[in-house]
Amino acid sequence: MKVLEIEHITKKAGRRTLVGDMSFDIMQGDVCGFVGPNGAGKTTLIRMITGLIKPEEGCIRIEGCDVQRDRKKALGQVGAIVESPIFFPYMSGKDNLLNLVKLHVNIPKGQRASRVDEVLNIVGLAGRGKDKVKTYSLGMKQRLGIAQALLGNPKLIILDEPANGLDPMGIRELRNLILELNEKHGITFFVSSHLLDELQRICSRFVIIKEGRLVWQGTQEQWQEMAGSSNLEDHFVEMMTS
Amino acid sequence: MMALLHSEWERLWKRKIAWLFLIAIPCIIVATAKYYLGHNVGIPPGSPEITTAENFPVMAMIEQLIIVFNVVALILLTLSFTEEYRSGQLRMIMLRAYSSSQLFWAKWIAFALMMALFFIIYLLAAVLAGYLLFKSAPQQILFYYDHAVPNGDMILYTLRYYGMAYASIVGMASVFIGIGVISRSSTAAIGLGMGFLLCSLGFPLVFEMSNRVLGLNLPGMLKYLSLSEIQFSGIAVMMSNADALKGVHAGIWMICVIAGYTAVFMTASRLIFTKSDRWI
Repeated sequence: MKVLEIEHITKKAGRRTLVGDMSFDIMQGDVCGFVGPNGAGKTTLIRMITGLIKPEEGCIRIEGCDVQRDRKKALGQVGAIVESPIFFPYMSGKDNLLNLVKLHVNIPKGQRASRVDEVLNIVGLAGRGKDKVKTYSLGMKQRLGIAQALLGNPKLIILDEPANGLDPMGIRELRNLILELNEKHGITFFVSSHLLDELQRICSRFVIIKEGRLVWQGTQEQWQEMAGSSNLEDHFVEMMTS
Repeated sequence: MMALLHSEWERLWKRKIAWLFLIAIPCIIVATAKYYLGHNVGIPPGSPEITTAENFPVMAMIEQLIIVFNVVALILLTLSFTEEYRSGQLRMIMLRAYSSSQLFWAKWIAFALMMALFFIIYLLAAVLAGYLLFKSAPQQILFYYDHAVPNGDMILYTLRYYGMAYASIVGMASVFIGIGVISRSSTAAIGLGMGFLLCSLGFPLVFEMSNRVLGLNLPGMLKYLSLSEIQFSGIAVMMSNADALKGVHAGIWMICVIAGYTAVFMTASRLIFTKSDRWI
């Protein structure tokens, strides 16, 4: 079943095409890596998927709901971190989540606090929930970002460069968390990153873009077969430079 | 929409400035009362400038509306619109299943409710301080009134005065929101907001000087195109019953000015806030 459908999406900034006629689908249960060099249009596409900006052409559907026409239903199925997770620094991590959980109509008022405790537990922040966000490390903010993305029981979680600024321990924690959420809760992930090695460890599928255009999409096995090696980095560089 | 409003309301109250202002209200009232107690000494009996237990709430509002309330409104709106937007904090809200138009109105309503609460608390504190610190008078002498009014009418006058003061803050806030949504930083928003406030304060002086020096003979009511002038003397003028002011329709003119600012700036702000892509 398709969780995310991208159909002929185009976004321009003046004359420059940021994303051009891009189409691909993400299936339920996928952990999909979204790969491309800096400036390829990854964050622009993620902004369009999450309704922050509008495409000039094309259609984005989440669980069959058009993001532009049926924003409420479409975005109700998604949790996301776009670029870095920025919270309200004058509030505690828990208060941030309590403030955001109100915006999920599918969570009854009486269950909001328990849902917040639940997601804090899932991301391992239960012990620091009462601390102000401004005292959190970047890794903790990333985990809180995933906690806020989990609040509404989403079918799809979109993470934009989630490993940015994380140390190796933080990256490992994040990786384990994504795999656990995918396996235990069946959540589909769409993860953009430069760290190909890291994506290889978690992703079953890949979407590769260059200069705003789709270059390739398929499973990790298909890519390895095409590359003739399990080391995808050389092949990725070749694709980007050819 | 109620959930969004609740979320905005809660975040406003998590700001230190909201609590600081709330706690400061009794101090502002006491400081204002001390000023008027000293001022009363040199004022001849029968002057509308004499402060009594009954008119102190109005006098306290006249004294603090332009500076304190406008500045608090500017800071709250800058934090709510500019700071949350430009720092990217608002992204967390914008990713949810709400339209930016709903978000804009939720922010606006939360601010308006908070200011209404401040006005009510300020009024109650001023009433209490008035009766504790000032002498009562059997009737009140008001600005731009031909005769004294009984204390029963003074209660109505006070409520109407606070209502108009609140309306003027709504007008001023519309401008601050307009500035807030186009400013690239909180510092710029505060600076531009203060600049607007200063221009608004300076406009009546420039208007009256040019009218006199250049002999333009423009209607005096035009000075009330300035929102701060409405706050300074306009509210008393529009509520006047003086025969000399009856033909100028001051109330209608000033309500139109406030409504005009509100309509123009709120429409423009909402369009900017909702139509543009959000590269945050």
